[in-house]
Amino acid sequence: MKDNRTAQKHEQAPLPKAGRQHINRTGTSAVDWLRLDNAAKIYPPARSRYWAPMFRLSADLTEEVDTDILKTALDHTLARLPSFACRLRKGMFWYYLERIEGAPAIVQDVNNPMTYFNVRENRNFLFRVRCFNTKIAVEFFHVVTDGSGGMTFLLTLIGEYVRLRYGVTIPTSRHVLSCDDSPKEEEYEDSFLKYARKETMSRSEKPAYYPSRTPMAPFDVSYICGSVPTDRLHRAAREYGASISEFITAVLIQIVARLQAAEPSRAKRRLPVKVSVPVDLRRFYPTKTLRNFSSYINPGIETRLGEYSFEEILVQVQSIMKSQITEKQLNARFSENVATERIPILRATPLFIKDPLLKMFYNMQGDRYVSMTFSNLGAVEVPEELRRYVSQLDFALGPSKKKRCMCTCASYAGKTRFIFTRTSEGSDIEREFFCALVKMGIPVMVESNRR
Amino acid sequence: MSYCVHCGVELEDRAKRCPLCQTPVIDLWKANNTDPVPEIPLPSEQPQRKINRRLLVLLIGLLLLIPLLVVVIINLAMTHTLTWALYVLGSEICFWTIFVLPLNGSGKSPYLYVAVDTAVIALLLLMIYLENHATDWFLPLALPITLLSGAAVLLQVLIWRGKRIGKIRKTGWGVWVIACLLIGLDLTITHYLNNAFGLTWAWYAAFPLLIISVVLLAVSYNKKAVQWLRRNLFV
Repeated sequence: MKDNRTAQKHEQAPLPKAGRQHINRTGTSAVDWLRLDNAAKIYPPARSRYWAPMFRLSADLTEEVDTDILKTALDHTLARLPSFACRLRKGMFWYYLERIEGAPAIVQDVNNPMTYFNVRENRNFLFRVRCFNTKIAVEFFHVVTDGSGGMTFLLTLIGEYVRLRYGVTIPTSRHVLSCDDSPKEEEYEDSFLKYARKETMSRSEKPAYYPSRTPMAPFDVSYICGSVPTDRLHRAAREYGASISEFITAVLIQIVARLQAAEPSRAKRRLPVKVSVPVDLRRFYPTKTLRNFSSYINPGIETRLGEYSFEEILVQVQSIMKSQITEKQLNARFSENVATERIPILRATPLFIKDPLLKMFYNMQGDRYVSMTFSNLGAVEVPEELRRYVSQLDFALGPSKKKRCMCTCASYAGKTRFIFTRTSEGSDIEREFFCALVKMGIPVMVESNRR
Repeated sequence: MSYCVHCGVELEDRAKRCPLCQTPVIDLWKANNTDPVPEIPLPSEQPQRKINRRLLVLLIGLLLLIPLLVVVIINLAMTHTLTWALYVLGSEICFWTIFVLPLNGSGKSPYLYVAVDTAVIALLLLMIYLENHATDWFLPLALPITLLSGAAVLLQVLIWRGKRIGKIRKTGWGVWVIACLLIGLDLTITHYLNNAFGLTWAWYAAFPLLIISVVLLAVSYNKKAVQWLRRNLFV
C-alpha cells in the first residue's frame, strides 16, 4: 500500500519516472522500486502457469566456468545494475518492480530452456543464470529488459568474471560496464515515456497467416541452431543489394509463403505473410537505458495477389523496412502505446480488473498479426580484451504463446548463429531456411537439442 | 564432421540424425573410428506439480463434512431428532458423487459414473419421499423420470463415444434419444396426473425432433447425400 501511495505521488513527478532512491551499504545509489516500462506492462498479465515471455543470451568461454567466481561476479553485477535485482509485485493499479537483496542461484543448464519459469523457485528474481561446462547463459523474463539490455548484463557479468578469475580489467564499452562504478539513473529510466511525442499512429493491421502444427508435449521445445560464416552471409546479401536483416526476413517470408500455398483452406491462403522484426530504439535516441526500449515492424507480402519471386519479396521487405525504420515512424508507433497507457480510465482501473482484461487482450491479439518472428541482435560489440575469453555468443527467444516459430540471430567472432525455437512439431521452416542458405553457397553447421 | 546427405548442412559430431530432416547420419569414417566427442546429456526441466487427485477427492469430502456437522448439531439441538439435516446429508452425497468423484478416475468408464449418479439421485429422492409421503409420488413419478433421464444420458454417452460413426449419424441418434426421452416423460407425467397413458405436449416437442433425426439418419446412410451436403454447405 505504501508503495502505491508513492507510485501515485510520482504520477505528477517529472521524467524520468523512477522510484525513491537511497544510498546502500556499498555507498552506491540504488533504486527502491521501479514502474514497469511501457513495453513491459503487458508481459506480467500475459504469462501463464506454463508460459512466460522469455529470451536467453549465452556465451561460451574458452575454459570451464568456475561457479564460485561466477557467484561473486553475479553479486557485483547486480550491485552495479540494480534494475535487474528486482522482483515483480502487484500495486493497486499496476505491477511494479521492487528491489531485492541477494542473487539468484546459479543452476545447471537444461535441454529445454525457457519453457518453464517459476520466479519463486528463483528467489523471486526475474532472470535465471545457467551454467554448464564452458557455457554461461542468462534467461530473462522480458519484463526486466530487452535483448540489448540483456546483452549488457551478460557481458558485464562475464567482464567481472574474467576480472576476478584472470585479473584482467576489461575496459568499459557499450555492452560492458565496470562494476566499480555506481549505478546511474539514466540506466533504468523508461525511455518510452521520455521520448514519446503527442502525435501517434494507429497500430491496426491485418491478421497474418501462420502454419498451424501439432503442439509438442508441455515443457518440450525444439531448439535448432545453425551457424554460418558472417562474411559469406554478408556477401550473399550484398549480391541482392540488401542488409542481412532484410535478406533473412525475405528468405523467411518466402519459406512461409511456400508453406501457405500448400494450405488446403482457402481462407488461410488469402492471409498476408508477415514476419515480425524487433527494432532497437537505442539507435535513434541518446539513451543509456537497460530496460525495454525496442519496437517492432511487421514487413510482409500479400500472397493473395499472386506468387512472389524472391527478388519481389526482397523489394517489398526493403521498402517497408527502409520506410518504417525511421525515427518518426517508430516514435509514432510507440507513442501510440504510451498514449494508451496514459488513458485516465485505464490508469484508474484497479489491477485485479485490468489484469484479466490485459491477459484476454494478449491472448486474442498477441501473435495474431505475425507469421513468425525474426530478431536480429546484429554484430555484438565486445572489447578486444574480452574477446580472448569468449568463443561464442548466442541469442534465443523463448517459444511464443501461440506456437509461432521464433528465429533469432547474433553475430560474433566471424560467425552468425541463427536459433529457431518452436514448441510445435515439424521442422520444415528451419530445413527450408538452412537449405536455402546452402543453395546460395553459404555453408551451414547445424546443432539441435533434439536427439 | 558429417554432412546431411539430404539437406547439405554440416552436423554436430555427436548427431545421429539430421535435426532438420531426420535423415540418419551414415559416416563410414566414423564407423571405423571411435566417437571423439562423448555425448553429454543435459536433463530436461519438468516442474514437479502433480495434483494428487485421490487426496483432492478426500479433501473435498472432508470439507463437505463441516457444514454437515454444523447442520446436524443445530438440528439435534432444536428438535432432538434428525429431520431436515437429512436433506443436507443427501444433497452433499449427491454433490460429491456427481461432481467430485469423477475427478479421481480418468481411466474409468463413464457408463459406471452415469449409472452410479442415477442411483444416487434416485436414493436421494427416495429419502425425501420417506420424509414426506403425504401423496404417493415416488414410484409412479420420481423414479421413472430419474431412470428415464439416466438411460437417456447413458445412451448419449454411448452414441457420442462411438468411433466408427460420423457426426451426422451421431447427431441423428442423439436427437432420436432426446425425442424418446420427451415422449417417455410425457407418458409418465400424464399417467401420474390422469391415471391413463397418453401424449399431450410431447406431440409438439418430440415429433419435430423425430423428423429431424430420421432425416439426419437417412442422410448419414446415403453417401451421395453426405457429399451433396458437404459440397453445398461448406464454409
